Formats: sequence, C-alpha cells, structure tokens
Amino acid sequence: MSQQGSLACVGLGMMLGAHLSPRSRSHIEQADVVFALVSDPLVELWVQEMRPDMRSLQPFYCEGTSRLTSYSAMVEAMLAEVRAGRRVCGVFYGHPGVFALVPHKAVAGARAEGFEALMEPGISAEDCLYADLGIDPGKYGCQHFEASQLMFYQRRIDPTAYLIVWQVGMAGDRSLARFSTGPAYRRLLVELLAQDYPLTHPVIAYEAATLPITAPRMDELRLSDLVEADLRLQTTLVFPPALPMRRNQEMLDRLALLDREMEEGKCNQ
Amino acid sequence: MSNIIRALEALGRRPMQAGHYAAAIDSFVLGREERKAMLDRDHATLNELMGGKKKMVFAIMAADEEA
Repeated sequence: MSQQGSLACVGLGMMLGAHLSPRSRSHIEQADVVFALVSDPLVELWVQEMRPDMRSLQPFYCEGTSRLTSYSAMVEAMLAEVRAGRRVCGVFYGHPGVFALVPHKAVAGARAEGFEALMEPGISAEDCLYADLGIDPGKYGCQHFEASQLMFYQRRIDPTAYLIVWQVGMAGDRSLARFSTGPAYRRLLVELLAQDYPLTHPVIAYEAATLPITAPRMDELRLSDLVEADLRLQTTLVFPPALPMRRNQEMLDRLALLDREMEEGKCNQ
Repeated sequence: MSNIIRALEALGRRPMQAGHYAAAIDSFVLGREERKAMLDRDHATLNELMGGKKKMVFAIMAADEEA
C-alpha cells in the first residue's frame, strides 16, 4: 500500500545546537527525505550529521540565473518527493516562514495538491536581533523591508519607529540573478533613506551568530557610511527612530469624548 | 558524529561564562588543529578542517515575485 506523502518545512534557528526545537528535530529525524538550505557550511554539516542522506538545496543556486527560477526548482524538488508518497522535511535556517519564499510556496503547493503540509517555526535572525541589540519592537513600532523591494516600490517610512532593512547586500538587484550588488547601488539606497533620515543618522549593521563560539556582528555606522561599508548577504540594517512619536490629539480628544459618553450611558455598547 | 560538530552542538546547548571556555574545549576529544581553531573561535579554519562548502547562498526571498 502506498503511503500518502507529506511535507514539513522546519526552522533550524540561527545558531548551531542552540535553537532547534524538539518538534523540528523530530521531523528531521523521522522524514523519509530531508532537504536543507542553511546559511553556514558548518550548520549544513550538522544537519548532515543528523541525516547523512540530507540533500542540500545549495546546487539550485546559479549566479546569472534568476533566483525565482532556483526557488521554483527547489519547490518542485520537494514536491516531487511528496507526490512519490514520501514524508519530506525541508530544513531552513532561522524561521522557515520569515523572509522565505521557498517554504511558503512549498507548503502552499503541497496543500493545493491535497497533501498534508505544515510549517514549524524557528528562531529567526529577527528574534536574535531583538535579543542582541536590546530592541523591543513594541516600544516605538518596527518596520521591516527587503532592501530591493524598498527601492523598487514607493513605500512610506515612519521615522518615529524602528526601521529594519534585510538583504542589503543585494540591494537594487533587479535581475534577481546576482548574489551581491555594490557601492553604486547602495548609494541610491542611501539617497532614498536620506529623504527620511539625516546622513549622520546611526545605523547598526547586524549579523546573527551562527556558531556558539562566535559573536553577532553589531557594527555602529552612520547612514552615509553605508555606501562603502562591508555589507553582505546576511547583513541586516537597523535604524533607530529619528524623530519622537507625536501624539494624535484629534484621536485622543475623540476617545475622551467617547469615554464621557460611555460614562453617561449614552452609548448602547 | 565528527568531533568538531559534536563539540559545537554541545556548546550550543550549554551556555557558559567566557572564563570557562578553554576548560570546556579541553573536555572534548579534539585533534591539535581542531582544538586550536576552537580556542581561536576560528570559523574559517574549522570549516576547512571539516571540508565544508566555501560559499553558501541562502537568500530565499525575492524582492519582486513578478520580476
């Protein structure tokens, strides 16, 4: 009797040995087929120690080919095994659902074909960032943008909240076929951000630690430094608020009026 | 499991004070080069000793899905 295929996309967390949840480990250990896409070669070897038959998704990347093509091939590779009746586990660094197109597409694709599919969360770079930098996203609010998307579309940045910009090493790559851009592209990103921040505004270049023996990168820069800074694929930029929050007095007045009406029993609710 | 990966996994599970790091490394079965790389927190040498990939690509987000 053939077995019904299934898919679990699980998060490995960022740091080798430190972040893997028992549920995700169980999926890795019990799957018939394991695919992996991680950010550190030693982390990949760790997964390979857990599953010597692990299939790395690294070979699907090819500089000069749109990453969308690579992503589709990764999804198809996983779904082909699901269709063949196997329990498939896709292992992804960090959280498989955060800034991650492939796991979302794979889970949606499997479900659309009638297969059981789920996602197990992991500790993401974003989670590590809050802990390492001592930032609470609830304090002033927090905006997250992918660097190129921020450049390609007209977005509204709120400089009274934190701004976090991801994949800055590839900022401005319209081809989706490069693994890095360079100073000329980042100059345009700086020009864009300078519409909302002074060029002297502090920026933190952050990289989560992937090994328990290394420290996270937390370099303090200025906005103008970004053009020539060493910004890699894994670098995330963190902008503290540039302006204080302004009270919305009109809304506060309306709320006060509503409070009075409630007290006076004029409101039906 | 390789000695380096076993040591890294154990260190990942067990946070420790910086002053205890060298003693922790000495508790693992490691070769001379492996021990030195661990003590130096030398990611590149550890990867070389393990034969890990020299380049990893890991972007799995597209800025523009319609590109």
